[in-house]
This record gives sequence, C-alpha cells and structure tokens, in this order.
Amino acid sequence: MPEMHDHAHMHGSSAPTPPEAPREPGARPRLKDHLVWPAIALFIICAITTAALGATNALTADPIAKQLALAKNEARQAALQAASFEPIDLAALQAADPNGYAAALGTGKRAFSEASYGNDASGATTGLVVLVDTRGYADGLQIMIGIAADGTVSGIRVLADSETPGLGKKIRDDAFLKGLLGKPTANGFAVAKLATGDVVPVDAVTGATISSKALIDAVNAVARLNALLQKGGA
Amino acid sequence: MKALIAILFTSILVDNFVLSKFLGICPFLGVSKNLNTAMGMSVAVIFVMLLSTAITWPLYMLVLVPLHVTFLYTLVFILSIAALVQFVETIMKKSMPPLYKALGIYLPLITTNCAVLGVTVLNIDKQYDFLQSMFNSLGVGVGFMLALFLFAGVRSRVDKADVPKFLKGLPITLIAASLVSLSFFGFKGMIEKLFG
Amino acid sequence: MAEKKSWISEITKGFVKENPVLRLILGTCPTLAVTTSVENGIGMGIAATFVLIGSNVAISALRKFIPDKVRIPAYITIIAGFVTIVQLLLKAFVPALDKALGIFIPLIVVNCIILARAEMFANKNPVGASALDGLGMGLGFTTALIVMGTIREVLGNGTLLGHPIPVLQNGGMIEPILIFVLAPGGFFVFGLLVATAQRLSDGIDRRAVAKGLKKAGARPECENCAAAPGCAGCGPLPTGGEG
Repeated sequence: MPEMHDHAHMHGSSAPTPPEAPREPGARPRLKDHLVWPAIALFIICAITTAALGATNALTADPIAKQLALAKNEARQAALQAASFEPIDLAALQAADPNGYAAALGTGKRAFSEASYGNDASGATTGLVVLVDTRGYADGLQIMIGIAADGTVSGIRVLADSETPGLGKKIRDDAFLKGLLGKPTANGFAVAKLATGDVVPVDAVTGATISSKALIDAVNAVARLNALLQKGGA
Repeated sequence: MKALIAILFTSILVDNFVLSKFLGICPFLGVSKNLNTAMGMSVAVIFVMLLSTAITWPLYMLVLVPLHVTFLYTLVFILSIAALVQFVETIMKKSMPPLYKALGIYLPLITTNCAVLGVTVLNIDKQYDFLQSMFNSLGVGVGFMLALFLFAGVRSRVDKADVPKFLKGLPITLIAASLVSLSFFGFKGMIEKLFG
Repeated sequence: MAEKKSWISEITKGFVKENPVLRLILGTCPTLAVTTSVENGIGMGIAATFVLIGSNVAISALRKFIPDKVRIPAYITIIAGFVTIVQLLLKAFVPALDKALGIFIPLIVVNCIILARAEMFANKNPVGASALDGLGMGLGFTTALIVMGTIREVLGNGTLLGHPIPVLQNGGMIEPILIFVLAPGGFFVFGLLVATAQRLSDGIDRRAVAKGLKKAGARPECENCAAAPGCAGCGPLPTGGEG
C-alpha cells in the first residue's frame, strides 16, 4: 500500500473511479459509454484551449512586439544619445574580417548581439552602441554599451543579468559605472588592482570581482570593435 | 566538448536546481526521509528528465517554431511530460513491479515536479542545442540526486536529535536545508577557474 | 467537513488554518524563489490567484463533462491554458514583472496548489463555491508570499517595495543581512514561518476546543487535558484525583 504523503491527496490516480449510474437494460448506448469517449473529450478540451490561446496570442502579439522594441530602443538611448539608430551588419563584418572580429571579441564567453551607429538630427554620427551578451557569475549578462564619436564611453546599461543579488547585481549601480563613464577607451580598462601602464583602472564592486571584470571586459570588446569599424572606414 | 562538461558541472553543483534555484522542493522535502526511496525517485527523475528533453526540444524547434506557435510551449511541454510519466508508470508496473510498488505515489507526482518542466523550459531559454540540452538535463537530474542524498543523510541525524517543540518536523528540516544550501555556495566561481 | 460553510469561511480558511503554503505545504518552489522582494511576491500571488480562480471555475463548470479516466490530463490542459494567458498578458502589459518572475510564470502550471484544489474541490462543487475557494487559496498563497517577501527584503536588502528603509541601509544603524535574499535565507525564513503557522493553527484549534468545552460546562483545567476534544464533560472532581 503506497505510503500516503501530504501530496497524495492531490493526485488521486490511485483513487477509485466513482461508479456511473447503471443503465436500464435495452436503453440506447450513451456516447459516454463508448471506449473512445475519454480520448475524444480530452481532444475537445485541448482544441478549445488551443483556440482560446490562439485568440489571446493574436490580441497580445502586437503589444508584446512593441514592448520589446521599446525596451531595446530605450536601452540604446540610455547608452548613446541619438535621434536615430542605423544598424550595422555584424555578420557581414565577421565574414569580411573573421580574425579582426574574433580579436575584437577577445577571450571568454562573449558575443556581439547587435550594433548600431547613432545619428543626430542632422545625420552626423554621434557614436556607436553595441549590445554585448556575456557571462559574469552566471550566463545571460546583457549589456548595452555606447562609445561617443570622441572615443569616450557615452553610456552603459545592464539589460539583463542573473548575478548574485547584493553582490554581482551591483554592477548595475552608478557607483560602479561612474568609473567607466566618460573615460577614453583608447587604452582599455581593467580592474584597479590589475591595471598596468596606460590602462585605465576601474574600482570593482566589493566582493564581486568576477561580475565587475565581465562588464569591464565587455566595454573593452566594444572599444576594440569600434576601432575595427573605424579602420574599415565605415 | 569542454563546453558540455562545463554545462554538466554547472548544473550539478553551481546552479543546483534544488539548493540554488528552488526547483523540485516538494519531492525533495517529501522523499528525502528514506535513502532507498530517494535513490529510486532520483533515478526515475533523471530518466524522465532525459526523455522529456529528448521529446520537448525537437517539438519546440521542429514544430512550434516553424509554425509560429511558440506561445503553446507551456501546454505542449506539460502534456508531453504527463504522457511520458504515464508511459513510464505503465512500463514499470509491467516489468519492474517491486520498484513500482516502492515508489508508490511518488511516480505520478514526477509530473508536477517543477524541476522536470523547469529543465525543459530552461533549455529553450538558454538557447542550447540538442546535445547541450541533454547534458544540461543529465546534470540537473544528477544534481537533484546529489541534493537528495546529502539531505537524506542530514535528515537522519536531525531526526535523532532533540529538537525544540516549536521547530519539530518540517521547520527543522527546512533549516537544515538552508545549511546544506549554504555549503553549496562554495562552488560559486568554480566554473570560471576550471574552464577559463 | 460535512457542515455548511459560509462564503466568508471559504475565503478566510486559506489564510491560516488551511494556508496552502505554510500548512498544506504546497507551492513551495515559487514561494522560495520569488520572495526576494515583496513586489515580486505580490505579482506572483496575483498571477497564481488568477489562474487558480480561472481553472477552478472552468473545471467546476465542466465537472460532469470530463470523463474520470482523463481528468488529470484535462485539468492540466485547462490550467496550462490559463497559465499561458497570464504569460501573454504579462509579456504584453507588465514586461518588468515578466522578467522578474522569469521561469516561474510557466511553472505556475505545476504549482501543486492549483492541481490540488481542482482535484479536491472544484470537481465536486458548484462554480460559485469553486470560485470562492480559488480566491481564498490564492489570497492565502499571496499572504504567505507577502509575509515572507517582507522579512527577506527588509532584512536582506534594507528596502520595502523598493524603497530604502533609513535605519537598515549602508551607513545606517544596521547593515542589511545579505543571506536573507539568497537561497539559504529562503529556506531558513520558510522554516520559521511554517513553525509559526503551526503554532497559530494549534492556537486556533485549542481556542475552538475550549469554546466548545465551555458550552459543555467544562472547567479551566480541562483546557490542557488531552482527552478534552472527545470529552462530554466531567462530574464533580474526585478529591485528590485527576479531573
């Protein structure tokens, strides 16, 4: 006899089937008594549910798409002031110069999800904004990084992260990011205790060196991509 | 290959479903009383996780995505898992009656184990390919087993101790779980060190 | 259980006596995971309550139609339908909450509370009562989430609903205790809450027994007597013996 646990009462597949009312002999066979009826009933329920979901999806598809576009655009704006954004074909860039692209990415888990030039109202380029997908303590660290036309960091916005609350998550805070904002990207950045030569030192978040380093490395990668694009005369 | 091993280690130790992500708590609390039941349950869970991934991943990539009906994934995934568990139950009843009897009510409960649905959804979320998904599911299942084993040992000690009335039963079990979870924190940062 | 329940008691039973999380120990996974902040707890509570009421009503309305053999898959289908609706609505209109709750929104479908209520209540009771039951259980769930979220957010983050509490911030009198918003803290707070709920529930039981005893003409000593619940009342105390 299986031991009845707290959850046993919620999943009574071993509970007895309540008996259906007996039929009078000679009565017409009911649909419910047919062997296939359970399967048909289940199919009907599935069909109705799917239809209802299809309807909901149709209603919400537009708002969802709008939300996604809004979030992306807002993030780009936070990283780089611009009137409009002009997307860059990263795939073509990688195909044209695979070594340069790989060198820009650098070592470690990192990818450029998208890149755009920012243009002001008159059409002049205000800078470059790139979405980097990388890993800190955990996967799923997405950072929008903007570099102004003068080569300084124009803005950084962490879009998504699974870092530790209270520690790694603090890389979102201004207290940490101000060590990077407005600084020239020409020589790269590094965590303060590891910075040598002309590399700009940045104070890491206390107790979250790995998360801090991931963000700093992402900024360096974008700086290298910026240099690569400028070399190509884009 | 290195990436696959990294995924395996991450899901067993660093991102342990039970102790870090809070998935699979109900069976974790319920089954860890008895080491043998814990073993049987874990093996069943690993098996169901692997089979579920093998079914749901292709279903998502080869059916839902091309048809633009990805919003149906919750429905499709959970029904697949329910059907799978039913199937496993039937097979076990026929060919492994003692194990079937030992697991009793816990077998159908695997359907509502958030860890099983959780890992199938996670594989899609993380955009793993098929092989990575399978490795991830294997790791999650093994991590579940590891947590269950460790905890069964802790629980057998706790049950023999003199616990204040206020905390007797489930409360002291949960506090013990918090300490086991704390010990797993030691694994954070391990993946970067080992795999660069 | 056979007595007629007022609709008020249908709703309030979910708060302490039959609190799904703290007494019935259902739905523990989302409780532990989303209570790092009160806001997330409230969001999850509302989402789950919506699914709970919806599925209870649907299953109750269809209870004569669904064949017994396939009732569990049928329930799962209906619940999954409501969960998907919630998912889509959140993605479209409250994307911040969708991001915060993440994987736990689709996981509402395996929240044991919902399936348990369907199996235990909705398939045996009319639509109105089922809706109230869903509401009551949902409110109980949300209450547990809010209580746990408050403890963890205040102690672990020094904020409440995102607003910093002066005394508990860095530089204030007490530093926030980080462990509370991490996994071990979740288990710990949950353990203490379960113990507290047990205490409260026992207290309610004892007071009900005492009330019943008073009616039957019992004495103060009877309150702690183990035989009290079944006792029909005693005669005069024998001298020097037990009551």
